[in-house]
Amino acid sequence: MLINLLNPLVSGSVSSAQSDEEIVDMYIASQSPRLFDILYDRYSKKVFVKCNSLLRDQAKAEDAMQEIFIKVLLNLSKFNKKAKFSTWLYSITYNYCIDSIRKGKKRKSVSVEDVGELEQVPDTIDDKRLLETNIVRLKAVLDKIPTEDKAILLMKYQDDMSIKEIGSALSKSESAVKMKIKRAKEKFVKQYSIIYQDAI
Amino acid sequence: MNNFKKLQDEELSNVQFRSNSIKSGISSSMGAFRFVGDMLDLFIPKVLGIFVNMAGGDDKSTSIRRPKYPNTPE
Repeated sequence: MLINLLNPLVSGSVSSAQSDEEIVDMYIASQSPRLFDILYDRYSKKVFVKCNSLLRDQAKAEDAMQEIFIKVLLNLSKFNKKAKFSTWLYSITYNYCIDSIRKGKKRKSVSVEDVGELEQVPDTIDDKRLLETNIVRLKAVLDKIPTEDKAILLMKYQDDMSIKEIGSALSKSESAVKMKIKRAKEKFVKQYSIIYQDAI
Repeated sequence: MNNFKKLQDEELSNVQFRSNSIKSGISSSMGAFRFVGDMLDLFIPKVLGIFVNMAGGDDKSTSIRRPKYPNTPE
């Protein structure tokens, strides 16, 4: 009883200023649906936007979001706090969407890792050129490039994930991630020039 | 703020989805998982105990407990 009264959850003192990690700890301890609601309210929109952007289908994005949050809740005890909760959540989101697209297409593609030892080619496309692309054009081009390339660009430039974090999210080495980013940027620039008949 | 983030903000401001029904879907799925987990917690030890007994072992959780009086020889 006393423990319950001291518990901020039960006494109703969970503030919106509390960090995600604190809320995760409290959720693991209490399994209170109220704490899940807080996390859901903080991230549902962002997760949905990412799913909708990658899957390009409202109904599929809603289904994916439900599955992602269930996955998150079932694996919450595995969250090791090496990265922020949001980074962990977005990693699950990107992986889920990429996997579901792969399952849908069942296309045979050669992954970057399959090519063998990756050549160390310098990244010649300046980030600034990408980051200053007009928003309407940015959306149009992102919608035209393959989902995996789009996801990796969003991870890097939208969610500010480090190479290491992207690598652990996609289960790839850091050099493979750098290569994927470089190739995604090249595809972006190529697609931009196809759509707008202009250099970025 | 770079334009990737501005694009996200723009998409967030226009987003519409069935938030409440998704939330209740998640809650009911978690409830179902919890129910199945509780059932397994409750019955698996008993079932395993029955198999142990059938195999001739002595499982204390399922065997009949007889009172043991003080100074009773083993």
